Amino acid sequence: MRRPSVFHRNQGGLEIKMTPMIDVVFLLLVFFVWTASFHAVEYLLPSSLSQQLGNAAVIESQAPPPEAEFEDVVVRMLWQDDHVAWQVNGQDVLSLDEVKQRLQLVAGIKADAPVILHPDEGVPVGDVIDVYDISRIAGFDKIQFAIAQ
Amino acid sequence: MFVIRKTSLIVLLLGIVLSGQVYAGPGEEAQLLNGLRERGLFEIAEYHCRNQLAREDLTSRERMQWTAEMVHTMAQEALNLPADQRAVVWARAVDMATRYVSDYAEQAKSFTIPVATQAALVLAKQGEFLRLEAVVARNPAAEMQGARDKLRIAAKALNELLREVDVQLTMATSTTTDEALSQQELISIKQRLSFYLGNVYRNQAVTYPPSSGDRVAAMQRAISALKKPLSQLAAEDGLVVDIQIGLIGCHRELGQWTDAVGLLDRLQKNTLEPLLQLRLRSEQVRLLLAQQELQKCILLLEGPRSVSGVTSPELDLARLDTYISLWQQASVEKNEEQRKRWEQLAVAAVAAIEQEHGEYWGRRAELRLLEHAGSRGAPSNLDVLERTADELYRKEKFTEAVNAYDQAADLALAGGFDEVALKLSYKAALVVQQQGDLNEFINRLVTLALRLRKQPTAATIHMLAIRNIAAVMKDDVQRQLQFKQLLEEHVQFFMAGTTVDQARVWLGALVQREGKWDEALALYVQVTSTHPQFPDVLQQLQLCWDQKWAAYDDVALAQQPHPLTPVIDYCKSLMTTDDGQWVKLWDPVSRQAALVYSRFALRLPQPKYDEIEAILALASLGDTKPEGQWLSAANTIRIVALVAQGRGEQASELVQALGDSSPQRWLEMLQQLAAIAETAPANVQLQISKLQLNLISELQGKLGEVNVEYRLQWDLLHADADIMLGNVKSGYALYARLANRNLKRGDIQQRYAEALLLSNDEVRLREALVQWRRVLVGYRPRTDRWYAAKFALAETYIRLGEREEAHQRIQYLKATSGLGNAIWTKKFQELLNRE
Amino acid sequence: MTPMIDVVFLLIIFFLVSSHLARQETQLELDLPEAISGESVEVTTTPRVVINVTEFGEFMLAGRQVSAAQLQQQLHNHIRKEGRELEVRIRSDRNIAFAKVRPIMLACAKVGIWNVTFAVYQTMEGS
Repeated sequence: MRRPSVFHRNQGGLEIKMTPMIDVVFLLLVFFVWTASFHAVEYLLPSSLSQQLGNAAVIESQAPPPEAEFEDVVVRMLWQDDHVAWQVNGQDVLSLDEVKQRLQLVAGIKADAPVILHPDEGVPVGDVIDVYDISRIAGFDKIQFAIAQ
Repeated sequence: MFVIRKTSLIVLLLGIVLSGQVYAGPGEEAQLLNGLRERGLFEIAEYHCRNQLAREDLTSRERMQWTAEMVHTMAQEALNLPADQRAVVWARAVDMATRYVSDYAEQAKSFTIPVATQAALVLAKQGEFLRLEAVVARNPAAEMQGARDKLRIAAKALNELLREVDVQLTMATSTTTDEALSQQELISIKQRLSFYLGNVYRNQAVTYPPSSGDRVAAMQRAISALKKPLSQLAAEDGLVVDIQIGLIGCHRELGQWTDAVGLLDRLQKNTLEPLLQLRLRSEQVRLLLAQQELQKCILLLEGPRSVSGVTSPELDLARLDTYISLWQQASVEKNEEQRKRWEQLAVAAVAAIEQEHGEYWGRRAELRLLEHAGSRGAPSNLDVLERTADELYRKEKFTEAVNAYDQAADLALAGGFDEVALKLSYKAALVVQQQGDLNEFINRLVTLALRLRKQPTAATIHMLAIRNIAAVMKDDVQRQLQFKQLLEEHVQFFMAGTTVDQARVWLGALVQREGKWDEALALYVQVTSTHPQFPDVLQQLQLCWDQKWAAYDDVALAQQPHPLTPVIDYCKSLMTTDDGQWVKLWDPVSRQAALVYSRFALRLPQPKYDEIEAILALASLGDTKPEGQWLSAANTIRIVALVAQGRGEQASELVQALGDSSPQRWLEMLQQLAAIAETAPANVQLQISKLQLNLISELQGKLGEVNVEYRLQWDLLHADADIMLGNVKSGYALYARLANRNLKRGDIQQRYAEALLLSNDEVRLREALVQWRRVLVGYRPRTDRWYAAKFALAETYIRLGEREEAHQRIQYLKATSGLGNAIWTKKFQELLNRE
Repeated sequence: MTPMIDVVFLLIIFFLVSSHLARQETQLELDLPEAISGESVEVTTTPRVVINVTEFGEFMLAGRQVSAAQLQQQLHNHIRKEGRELEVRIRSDRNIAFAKVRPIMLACAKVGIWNVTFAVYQTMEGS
């Protein structure tokens, strides 16, 4: 006796209850919106500090190790009014690319040479990180920031 | 009487000022102020004006009057000051006037007119001054143009004021009030303005060249401006006489004698006050002068100079003009006696005018004199000019003095009197120096020295300039460049003399510091041997040659003739007389030359030991005993020469002689032996080392108490000699001990490192590595010694057979700090390419 | 049925968000410098202190502004509490002068912390 109701249901259209559906859709939306990060992903640059700065004219009583023959690579960043000027071991370098080339050259010869970054007071952190980044990419493992004691 | 009048006037003034309550009307005050001005008491006048202006109950009219008086006083004061101060006071006067005008323009328009008139008069006076001074200026045409411009501005200002007066006249009433000028006053002002304008036009006219169209036109304009108020004025008005005297002058300039004479006669019929009478007389004289009637002038001038005690500067100036014309006539006629007479009278007249009438008239008289004297370059005229300039200097009118000296110098140059020109230019420069302008002083000295370089004192003057620069060039790069330039100029332009030698020595030192050895040598060689610092020059010469020697490589040394020949020949020339014989009396110069000669002669491939020894032996003798240091140096070389020839006994004789001198000398001798050994051939080196060891062992016992440093040096030399001779074990042991005891001494560590490199033993070379590392760490990066240490390290690696290590280090150096200057780069490259 | 799905999703979302936030600890929006060789943030057990340096040069530690001296004191306290193995993360605006960051590094050096990291954004090579 219920058969006509089947027909009825088939022809009559779906009686879907919309409200819960909308709820679910909204919830899914919110779920995906939250998990998608609005913030850019942050990464880390590890660094280590160096306690020494500059050229200590001290002749030690112990014989200096062979590494003493390879002097530190000091990358100095000077702040000239409104832009940065780089110096590698006292020699002026004109652009960041050139700094990169030089560091890669040095790393090619000796990758465990100590690199010391010595920025001036006014140099922006962004530029300092740029040079630091370049040093890491070039392959140096001992990169240090120089801060005066 | 003059004095009494002055004192009574001062008493009167003090009374008025101190009482402060008596406010005399401005009219009477004007007379007082006039009197003060006439006597040159400007400061009191200004003080009085300022007091009045500071009063609280000042009406506008009074303020106007006092301001006008103040401006007038300041203008008068400026006339009597020297040129530099004059401009300042004028500026102050104009400033005051403009301030008044801008402050009170709103309230009392008509009152601004008198004050503005005074300001315009200042401008007119400035123009007149420029015209007067243009006569003696270096560039008359430009100065005249400047005068014309100034006068044009003054004329424009006066014309504007005339228009303003017309405007005010339409609004003015016939009563004098405190707010505005009355009709009468305005008319009177207008008449005066016309008069002033006429004067300005007349001044303008005179700036043009005589008998030019411009002059005539301007003079006509002046005449019409002067004539304008005549019709409106009553005959008794004082202004009438002034105008008519002005007209006489204009007619005279235009050559209209009849008009001028007519006016003169008419004027003389009136009774005039003394001052005006004298002025009239001066116009008469000028008229006669213009017509060239000199004799009549003299007659006229014989009349009384003063009337009722009043003298006129105009008359005195006319008298001066007469004298000058007569002077001119006499020099044309070549009448020496007359010329001198008129010259003296003229000069005396100038002095008298200044004394009597103040600085302004004195300057005008002076200018007349300078104008005349400066037109012909006869020596007597130069004399006059010079004396005038000296006077100016004494009166501290520095700018005028410099101008006068310059004028005289130009004249002297044009006339060919170079010596006088030099003297005058030099004086001018000294005055400039006194004023404090160092740059100008130096420029003047240099220009005059170069222009008149044939004069004997020119070189000294040029050197004076150089010395002045040397005194101030300590931190100034610009000056140092200038110094060098001037030295080069000096050497180029002046041929000989002590100054040139001095310049050569200084220039040589400069060039030497820059490392240009050849240039320095060229300069030193030219210095004459009589220069007081000649031994020092020889010393520097030797240093230059040492540097050159260091740069020679084997190829250069094998050339014929040997590169050292020039210095050897030069030294020989200093030791021989003109006919090729050795000098009989050995003085420090020739002894030093002998020393330098022998030092270099030893470095030749085949040194002539006997000749060297003989010369030095000769130089050691002589009447004057050689000084200790020279003797020990000479003896050292002699010992080496003797030993090299195999004459051992004579060598030991000298050594014995050495033993008698002080330990200081022993050390010096050992050090010099070491120095000679550096550049000597191998066998001689060995012999020298043997000699050193002998000496050391002999003298060791006699050393006694010596300080630590001495002992150190002694031991170092000992160790060096040991190593040289092959006693490597003891030598290196001594070195190691010394190095360990003196870890902080970079020089000793370096010497040890260098000594280690001399051996070929592997152990020693490894020790050398360690030692060089120590040295490297101790030096500042990128200095010369640091690079030397790096180079030595690389070299040691190669000698040990570890080419890879050496290459790695050099590549690293290249990538980080760079391979240093050109010399080091070349060395490192060679090392890289070595097999 | 639907209300249960609702509740379940809500719970999931809640826990995700809270853990995400805790991990990020992004209290401050800053313009970090860019670098190519940055390493991704690992979940480690090392105790960490994050110091933010704003574009005005102020130091923010745990949401509060501190001065350089206070910073040193705080770091000292942290070390005493958690031992030497402390990581200090510096998040600084890229345009401020290095002189503002230097005091932090100086303080770390004085206190004895050597593990200092900088927080950066990632850029690709060549950009």
